[in-house]
Amino acid sequence: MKYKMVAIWFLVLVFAVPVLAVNEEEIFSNLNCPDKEGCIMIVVDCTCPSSLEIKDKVRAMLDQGLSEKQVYNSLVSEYGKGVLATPPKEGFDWIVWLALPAGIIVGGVVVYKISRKRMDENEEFDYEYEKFLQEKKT
Amino acid sequence: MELGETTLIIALLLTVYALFAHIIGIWKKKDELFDSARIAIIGIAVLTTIASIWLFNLFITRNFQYEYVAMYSSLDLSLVYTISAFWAGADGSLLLWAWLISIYIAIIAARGKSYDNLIKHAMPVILITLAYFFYMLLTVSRPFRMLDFMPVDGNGLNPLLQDPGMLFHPTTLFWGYAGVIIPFALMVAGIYLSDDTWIYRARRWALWAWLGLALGNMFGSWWAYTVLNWGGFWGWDPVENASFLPFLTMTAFYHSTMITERKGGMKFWNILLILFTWELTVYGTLLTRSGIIASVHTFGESVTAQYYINYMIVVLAATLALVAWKYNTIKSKKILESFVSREGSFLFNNWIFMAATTSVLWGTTYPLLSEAFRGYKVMVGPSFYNQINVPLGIALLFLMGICPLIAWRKASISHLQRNFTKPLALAVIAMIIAFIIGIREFYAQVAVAGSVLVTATHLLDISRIVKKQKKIDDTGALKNIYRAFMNNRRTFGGYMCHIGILMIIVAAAGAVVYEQAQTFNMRIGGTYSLGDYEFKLTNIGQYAEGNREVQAAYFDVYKNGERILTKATALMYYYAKQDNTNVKPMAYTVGIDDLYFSAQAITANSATVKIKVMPLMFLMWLGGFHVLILGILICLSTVVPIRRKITSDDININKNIEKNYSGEYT
Repeated sequence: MKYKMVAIWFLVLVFAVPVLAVNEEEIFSNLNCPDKEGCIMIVVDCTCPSSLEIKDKVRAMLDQGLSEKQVYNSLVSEYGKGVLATPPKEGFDWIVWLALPAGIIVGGVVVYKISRKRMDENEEFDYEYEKFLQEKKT
Repeated sequence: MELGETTLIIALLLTVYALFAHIIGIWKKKDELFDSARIAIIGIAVLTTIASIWLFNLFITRNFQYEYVAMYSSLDLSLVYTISAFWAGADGSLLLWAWLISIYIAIIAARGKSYDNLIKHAMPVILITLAYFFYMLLTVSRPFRMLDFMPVDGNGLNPLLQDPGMLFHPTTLFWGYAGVIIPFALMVAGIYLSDDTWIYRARRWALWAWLGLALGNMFGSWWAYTVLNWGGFWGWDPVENASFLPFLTMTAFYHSTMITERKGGMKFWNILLILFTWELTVYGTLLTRSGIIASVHTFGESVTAQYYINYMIVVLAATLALVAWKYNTIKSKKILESFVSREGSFLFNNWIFMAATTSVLWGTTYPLLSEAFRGYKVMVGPSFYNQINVPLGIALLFLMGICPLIAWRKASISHLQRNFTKPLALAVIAMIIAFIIGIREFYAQVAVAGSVLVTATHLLDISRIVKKQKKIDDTGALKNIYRAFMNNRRTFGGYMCHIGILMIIVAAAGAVVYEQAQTFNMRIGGTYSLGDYEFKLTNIGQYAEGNREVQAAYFDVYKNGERILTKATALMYYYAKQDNTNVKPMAYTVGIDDLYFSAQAITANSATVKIKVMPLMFLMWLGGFHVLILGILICLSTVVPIRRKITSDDININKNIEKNYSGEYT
């Protein structure tokens, strides 16, 4: 039981690693370049004039004290939803963010189920691969 | 008749013959049919090789009457990229895939003594797939389709593909893709025959495929770094993800097989992992070669997409039906006594790999689902993948540190204290030292702690193996190390792979956390500083090079007043054929830093250049191309099992196993 608790705490700690505080770089990395000529870069890495323009706008909005969500809303109203490089955590798009934790939990349940089928401490086991090699030889 | 298609038709006929020879041979128990089928299989490889050489020849002779040649090459294209244009499009890639599969099965067929019952049942699975690929090559994905006229010149190759990385990235990736089908076919045969030994038979082929996938991903990353103009090495682009997915599941499979080898467990799980790997391999090809990524609406226009989807559905349904039919014969043993054990660490390892696979698959697929069902594409960018995969990567890093020293079955408190006190103390000391010298960011501290823990536990275990070897037969320090290595190649190879992955993680952490970047508007003679470096624009040049015009800005680089680099360049290429200007980023390794130059505009006396200083990037290529690959090769070189007995520090290798069994099975 003690080991199980240690293992669970270890995993909780690992998966609970804090996401770094949002800064302008973080916002840039969540935006697509709005260039009309088909640029497919993320704003943070892009040097198109449109990306430079959007960077200035974000900085100005953050200076005005707008929250992250307000910044995204403002950009979506100006450029459309295509400007977002990451699905917003709202409406139907929550599914993107929720599906994975759900999957991880399902994985945890599978691991737990496997762990329920415990070997007996005194149970001997054959080294199956070695057995296979021996049989091949004979 | 056209030579290429004629050889493919004969290859298809031989494939169908070999398929039926196997089915009837199994049914009627006629061994002579297998002998003729094996000859047919070798014939398929010969014919596919002839078809491939013919396609190379068509490119080299610039025979633009062939549509595929006209699409992907031109008169001004250099010879080396004319050759690599073979796999620039979907049709040539499919031929490459079929060619490699045919060579693999010819190797199996030629080695008669390993052609046993399992192989006889596995071969039809591969032959059906190969026949399907030949059918596609002759109907919907035709590299040998001819035009009614002879164009004066071809379209030329996409400038981004005119790079050495594209010589190796697709070829190594398809080497892996083609290799995956062998474990898959062995798995299907194993389920059908209720023969669990398919897992051991598949080990080397799985490793071979894994080697190809590892190289393919590394070349892809190298290509992104040195060709794409954003100064990164991994952008979570759907095309990158497509090649990464089967690599992840294959990695999980390779770890999981160690549990099966030792304890006879995880057998059902191994079946699922190999099924996922093959499905993801085909899915990757669907994503990258059907145009579906650009828009799901072009999917209707893509003829091949439907063929790949049909194949995936049939394979999935047939395999699951077979599994359901034979479920009771899959005898998987209980594996776990305690979570705190080697088995437990492998279980967590597989959980993490599957979580990473699911996240990447979900993020890659969601935009397609969004566009199909809601009419607009919601992008899933790097931020999504990083938020999920960075914590998973950290968990994996620490598991990698724990795994070598934790006992099989059950680790006691005293065992944990004995094995982990020193490595953990070292990790904490390293974190403190790093903090004092200014490495204080969260991810940098994690990388320091993780890398010290991993290195310490691996070295500790290796030192124990050598000590045991010394106890058995002391022949001097160097010979002891050599013999310990030779007797434990799988362990040493596996550890090298871990160290290679560790180097990649450390490089990524260093480059991302401590990257410095700035865009400069430079004039000739001007000096500009970034971090510890000063960059002086010395000259600007313009010259023709093959099929492109080159504009180059030249720099001298200084550190602490001392010139450390001369004639570093930032380049822009202009391709007249495509009327396309491309930025060619240049990276130079200086000490532990990479200096990365990416020109944005170059005029007669000035240049606008983005410069990045990226620490530790050299570790990524050293770890990925050398250490990791060498580790896999060492693992491939032996059939000796991982170390036996109950605790990790036991060593009891039967030296004769390799001698006795090497080469006697697939």
